[in-house]
Amino acid sequence: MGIPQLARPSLGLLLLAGGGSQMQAGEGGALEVEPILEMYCFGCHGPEAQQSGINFAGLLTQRPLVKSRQTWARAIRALVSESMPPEGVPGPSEEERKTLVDHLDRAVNQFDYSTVDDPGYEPLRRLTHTEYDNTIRDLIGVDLRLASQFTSEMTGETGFDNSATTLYLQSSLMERYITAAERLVEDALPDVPAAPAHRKALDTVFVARPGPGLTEDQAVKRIVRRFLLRAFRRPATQPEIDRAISKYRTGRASGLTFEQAVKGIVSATLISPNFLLRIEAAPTTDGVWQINDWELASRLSYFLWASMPDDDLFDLAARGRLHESNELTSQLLRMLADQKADSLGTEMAAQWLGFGRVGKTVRMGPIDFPWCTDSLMDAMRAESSMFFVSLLRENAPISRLVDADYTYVNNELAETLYEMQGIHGSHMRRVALDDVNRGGILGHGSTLAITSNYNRTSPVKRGHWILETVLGTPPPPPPPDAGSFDQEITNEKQLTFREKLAMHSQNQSCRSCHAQIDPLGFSLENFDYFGRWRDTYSFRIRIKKPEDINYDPPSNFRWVRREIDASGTLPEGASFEGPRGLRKALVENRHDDLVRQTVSKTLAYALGRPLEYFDEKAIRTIITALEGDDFRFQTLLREVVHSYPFLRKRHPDNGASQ
Amino acid sequence: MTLSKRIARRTILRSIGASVALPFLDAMVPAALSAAKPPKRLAYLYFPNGIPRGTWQPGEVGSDGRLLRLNKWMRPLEPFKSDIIVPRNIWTPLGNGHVYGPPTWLTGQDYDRHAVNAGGPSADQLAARSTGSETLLPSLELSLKGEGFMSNSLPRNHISWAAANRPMAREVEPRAIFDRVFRPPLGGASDRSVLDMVLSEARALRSRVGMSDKSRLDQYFESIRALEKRIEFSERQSVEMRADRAPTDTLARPSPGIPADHKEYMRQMMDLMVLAFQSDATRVVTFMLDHGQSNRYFNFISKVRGTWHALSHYKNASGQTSDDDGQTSWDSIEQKREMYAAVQRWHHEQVAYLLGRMKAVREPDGTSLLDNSMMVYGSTLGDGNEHDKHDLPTLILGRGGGSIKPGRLLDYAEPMNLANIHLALLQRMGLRIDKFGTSDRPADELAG
Repeated sequence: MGIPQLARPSLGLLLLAGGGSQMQAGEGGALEVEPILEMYCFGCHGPEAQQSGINFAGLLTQRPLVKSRQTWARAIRALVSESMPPEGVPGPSEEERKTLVDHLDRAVNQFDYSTVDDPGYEPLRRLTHTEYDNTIRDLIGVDLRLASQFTSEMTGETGFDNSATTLYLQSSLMERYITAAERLVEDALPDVPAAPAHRKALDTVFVARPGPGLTEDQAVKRIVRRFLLRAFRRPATQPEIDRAISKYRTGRASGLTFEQAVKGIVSATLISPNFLLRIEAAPTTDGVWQINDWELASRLSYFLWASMPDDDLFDLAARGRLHESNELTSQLLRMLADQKADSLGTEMAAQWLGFGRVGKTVRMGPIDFPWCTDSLMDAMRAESSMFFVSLLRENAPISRLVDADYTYVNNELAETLYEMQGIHGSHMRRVALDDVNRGGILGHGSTLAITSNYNRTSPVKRGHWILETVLGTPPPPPPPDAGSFDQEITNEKQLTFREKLAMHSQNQSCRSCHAQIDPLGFSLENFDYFGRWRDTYSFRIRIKKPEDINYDPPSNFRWVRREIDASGTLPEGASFEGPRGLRKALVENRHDDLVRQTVSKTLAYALGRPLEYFDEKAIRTIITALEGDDFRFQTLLREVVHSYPFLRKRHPDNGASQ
Repeated sequence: MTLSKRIARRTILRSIGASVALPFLDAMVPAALSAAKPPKRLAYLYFPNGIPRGTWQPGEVGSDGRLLRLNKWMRPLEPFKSDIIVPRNIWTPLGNGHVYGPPTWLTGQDYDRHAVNAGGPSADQLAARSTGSETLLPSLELSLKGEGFMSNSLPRNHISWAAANRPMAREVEPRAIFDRVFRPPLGGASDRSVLDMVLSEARALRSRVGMSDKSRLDQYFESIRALEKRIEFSERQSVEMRADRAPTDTLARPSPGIPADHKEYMRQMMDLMVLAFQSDATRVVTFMLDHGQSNRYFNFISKVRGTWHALSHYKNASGQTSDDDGQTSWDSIEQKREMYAAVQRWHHEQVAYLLGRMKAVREPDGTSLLDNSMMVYGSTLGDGNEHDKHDLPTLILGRGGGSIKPGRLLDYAEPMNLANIHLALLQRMGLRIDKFGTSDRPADELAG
């Protein structure tokens, strides 16, 4: 389907022919497979009992079935492998099993997405704390970082900070907004400017002053019009302008100066819903709409900059040209080159890959680990985000995310973690890597640290992170009774983790999953818990008896070294050796998954909402475009900002979801 | 009150080196409180990670169920045994543990991780809706600031929910709490004309956005209205308090940031809680003594090492499991279990401190603050090592203005739904409801 033309460019809202009524893809009534599921599966996965959290009765009401694709796909796998229903429970006949599998396969794996045209709905939501800080910076011209005083942001299970599902506005936060607005006016716009930053902020706000040829009234109107446009990210309506001006007049009447009364407007605007919330106009009829250019400017800027649009974007929106394909592409490239696009590394990639946690929830005790300084951890995060952004700016293929021959370091990072010589100074700079094991996101100290336990590596966490976070193919969750080794196993202090895990995995219920997870993590075992290279394990063994031949008073311990076995295998069977082998194996065998995951994560971040089943259509469109273009990152970004859901929204009350 | 009397008190206050709050601040008791029967206060104190099985069982109980002696682990609470009920065999049918426990503890419903939905409003928020118009703040949500890996996990950090899909933000910094209670926003951006202006904008917006966004916009309305109410309240009710800043100034406004000493931090929060109740700034408080899977070190307790969560898995003392820090190990399971119990006992000590403060606060009718309070103190795990969902450690503290008969063991033969207790307490707070969560049977036996 083509991109619709705008019927009314000034509003940019358009009803697509037939959009709304055809969004539901059939499947309303009872399905032929229901009796089979009820007979053989409901006993453990039905209304009465929900083992593994699965309730088929509930899932059957979620139509189309592909809405719960992951769970149904698991069910299909279990049916095909005949691992379900378990032994000792009556199971379906061959024929019934086939009927069930065929039907589910058609409904889920073979689902025809061409029947669904649903761009989803981006709900109204407040700015994230980072977006708030960046927006203030760009609106006033001074970077105050006031959000550090706000109630802390929590992340749900759905993905990014900017997901509307977890962006609440509570009264305690509102109070912080008010305090911040007051502080901002006091600190950034003082009556007597004392610093260049003050003058910059005052110039940004006071775009006019009464004087010869300009009455006070005219000056105020000019200031208000300009400030509200930038604060609301769209032209203010006449009532909004009138309200601001009336507030100004009240202030003047009560004895405030021109400047003070204008500042009253500024602080009031900063707690306005139009500033704090990202609002898109509601469709006034059913169906699918193209968002207007002002809304598009905000979607672009909050995606690429985590901040408000700049004057170029506002200008194109005012002229109604931003949605034009070539304009959109050239704006994308312009914005990507801007330093503000670093947020794609510090926000999007940091949250996707998790390295933003370094120094926050992942840190070492300063007394026992004095080398683990805040500046080191800042550098670790910076390495990964700068690397990620370089892939975008240089239009690298997506595979370079895991397979690169350069990285970013400063002297502290180079010396403390990477054993690199000749790096001077604390600034981050790009370096070519001789070390074939280090390049790419899998060899960064940051990601190796977040996938370790405290002071100890965890091949399980690393394997799981690769499968779930990097490839988007998580293994099934562990059974409730899984978790730790038996005491006898853990007491064997000289065993490597691989050996212990092998003992643990002799338990059948653990083995099938750990066989997929662990070998990936084992290949990274030469990296310690903060990503330093090591050739051997060192085990500290408590000496129990003085007869011990290695007994060496006064120490009660001795050290035992063991070689590291860094061989690994992919779940599909390809085997490899060490980090370098892992990279190669991923690029050769799991490239599709890496691409799909990168596309999905980028799209979810761009839309600011969890992806729904119908977004699969956009994902496939983007992947197809990537296939024709060497899977390059700028193609990905271009396709995302041109994607069906990025440019549109549907009426929230008649969509395929919720 | 005369000026000279106040000055004298101020001098006394300054001479006492209490961390934050001080009792007997009747300069701050609003006029409305001085005549009638004191209002009931409701609080929920949550702790994570469960307890070692057996350490919640009273040491000696009379034939009538009266508590004669607690046990050695609960000894800090011994002086208050006539103020508490020890219920046995409590459970929550729909959610428990580290993750699902916190968001369901007070909602009595199931938790949906994907949708971030706790099934309904929590008991404290229902109570706050009912009493909120009479106090400065409808409720206070307090928490100690989390440490470690799970400290920004949403479900582990929220027991209080305004609605099924809206957790209440927690206050973690003593100074911020102090300011919310004693320094209502006045002037500047919270000026009435500013609020009027932004409210008009919000109203204009309502016609621009769709139905489903309206409910999100309502969050904005609510937060502004809450603020308006606070301003009105403080104008109406506590003119005296604001006219003379001295009493609050004397209360040594806490320093910014989080106190480094954990005990000091905990006690400052408890002081603030008492102060908020005492001055009738609110009647509803939730306090998370830690997040649902706390990895905090309690090495400052004698003979304790390792993180709380690691200790809770006491049956593996190797120090080598995924819950461990890699450097702490224990000599034996018994030793580790003892440390786990010691962490619990330390928390009992802090709760005993809170009870002591509340008992010392005299209300205008001569009863104590504790007499007029009802508090639930408990966890969403039974035995932490087993991730046990049965026999959840729970205590009911206070007399609820005479509506609760404490000093007893309530030994339930069948697993007893915690929501029954929530329902009973909500009814005592004056709510006319006969159902809450999965309960339609209030725990009337609390009355004796």
